[in-house]
Amino acid sequence: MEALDNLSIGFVEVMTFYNIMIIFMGSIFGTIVGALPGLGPSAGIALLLPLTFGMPVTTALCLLVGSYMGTMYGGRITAILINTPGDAPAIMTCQDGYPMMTQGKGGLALGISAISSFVGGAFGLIILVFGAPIISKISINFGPPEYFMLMILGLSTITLLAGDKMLKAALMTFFGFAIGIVGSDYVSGYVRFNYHPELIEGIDFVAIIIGLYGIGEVLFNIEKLIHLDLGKPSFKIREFIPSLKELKQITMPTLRGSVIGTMIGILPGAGGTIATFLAYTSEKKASKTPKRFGNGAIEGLAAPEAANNASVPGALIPLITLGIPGSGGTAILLGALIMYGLRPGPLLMVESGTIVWTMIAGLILANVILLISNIMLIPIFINIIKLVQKYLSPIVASLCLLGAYSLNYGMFNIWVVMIFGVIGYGMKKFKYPAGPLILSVVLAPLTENYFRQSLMLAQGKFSIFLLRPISLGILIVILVIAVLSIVNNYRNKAKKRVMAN
Amino acid sequence: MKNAERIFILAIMIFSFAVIFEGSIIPVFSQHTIGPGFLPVVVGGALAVTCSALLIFSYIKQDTEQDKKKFISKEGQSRLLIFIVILMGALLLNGILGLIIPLTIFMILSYKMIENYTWWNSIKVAVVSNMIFYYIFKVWLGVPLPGINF
Repeated sequence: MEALDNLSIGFVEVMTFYNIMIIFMGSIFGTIVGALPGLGPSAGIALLLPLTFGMPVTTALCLLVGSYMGTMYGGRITAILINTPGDAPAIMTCQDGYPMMTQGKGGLALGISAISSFVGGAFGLIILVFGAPIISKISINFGPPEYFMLMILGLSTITLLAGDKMLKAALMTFFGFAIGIVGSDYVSGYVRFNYHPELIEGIDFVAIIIGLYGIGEVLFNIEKLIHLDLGKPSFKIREFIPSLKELKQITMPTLRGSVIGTMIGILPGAGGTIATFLAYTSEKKASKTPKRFGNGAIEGLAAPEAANNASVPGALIPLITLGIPGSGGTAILLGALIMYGLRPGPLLMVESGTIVWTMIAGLILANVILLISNIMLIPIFINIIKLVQKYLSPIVASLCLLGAYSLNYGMFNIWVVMIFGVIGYGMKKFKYPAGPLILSVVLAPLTENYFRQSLMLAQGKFSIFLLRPISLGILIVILVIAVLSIVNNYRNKAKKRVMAN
Repeated sequence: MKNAERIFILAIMIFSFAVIFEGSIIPVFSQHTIGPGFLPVVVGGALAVTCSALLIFSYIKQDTEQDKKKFISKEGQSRLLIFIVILMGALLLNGILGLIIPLTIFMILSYKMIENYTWWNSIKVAVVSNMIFYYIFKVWLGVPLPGINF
């Protein structure tokens, strides 16, 4: 009941005309960004971040979470229409969404995916509303050693779950960590990499994200001269709404996808991509007719879409209660929370409860707005993407550079964006994952801080991590995940070798 | 593609040595805890080891279809070069023309030279987009964008 009382306070804050419009605009913006190939939640939030500088904190967070949810809805549009996922979690949407499109059921596929996305998001939000305070109460007992271990869990999970790209993900994790420790060490007063006055404060992670995603993607598109050809959109609403029989058919897959998405979203470092992969494979395994999957099965479309959107509130649980981002998008949200003067972690719900509940209320409102808008405005989205896609690369490049300038009103961040743009382009070409890099850039200073505090507590003894039960428990979890991932990876490679022979 | 990736890894490896060097010239340990140089040394070392492993694997592993592909086509290379040169040029003009005007010029030139749009279309899209950007950043958000400075 306490959760509902708090939520109602959040709704009182959010239900102003200005906030509703902000959530609406954030949701629509997120949907468009999510629909653009290569641009996902990280880019969507990063592009909006400079716009929030002059806003009240609650309004700014409503805009960001609205955009975050919107990118999850938007990723499916180009995945279904042209077999090009807008972002990584939408990859599984292509499997059955695009075959439906080729069978002349593109509108229905968009409608089913919008409804599944809504249900997934709503399920995740229920868990967030009722689960977050409980997890928060448990996590208030966490000390620096436990936090340090959680950081390592987050970083190792995102690396170990990268499948056959594990070594590449490890490289990106260490690379991000090395970038994250540039700047002042506030305890000793030493400045690391003191080659430019701007480096005293470290490299702004928003500039890194804008460079990696925005400019990196632009350079890739310019090289390939990628242009979409969406054709003429249809304006018939009836084509987008599924029948009762189809709704019945997707009910259980949607619910199963919602559960998987929320659970995976809660795990630090896992995120929507892994959730959609798991939801799709488990749905295929559970099906009596698995051969239909990949040929336009609506269950194969509904389950990953629900999982994708359920992972958003799921990923917010560790962010709000423990201060640990569950995905690249929430890593940027973590940075935003710190930037607004909040302290993500167990005390966030106590110190800034109203702001957190307003953000959750904003997320609920965004989910409803997105369901309606995604069904009603599908033809308009298509037209906007069609219009923007033709002129996209230079527009995105200019927007990225202006956003970078707005970070501290100087040219330094513009050059940071350019450098990381080239790195991002290389990463995309050589298929290096960007998620581990972003997570480690954000987590590096926190990890160092908790590690230092832990050693101070134990007077320099590293055994503190083994002597505290929760810390030891997390360490065992890390080791189990490591062993399982390596064994699984080895098995998959062996299977591939057998298949090839 | 494989050689290009090796160069990419080597560049990160050089960075890892710089990180180790940076860590080694400041205290690695402090009383009862780590010093400011601890993480740079450890992370730089781990980065160098991972880079070495990836480089070794690139020689041991059989070439995939991806590896056999050329890193970049000639057309792609020239498009990319033109784009970067125009963008860098526009950024260097920032001291004289501010930010919005050079970005407008950059957009016009990239539409015309890379995408082969007509001058009229290029100017129209660039001017309208930058007017919207100017309104959002300068008017709405109050960002002090640099102006013309002869």
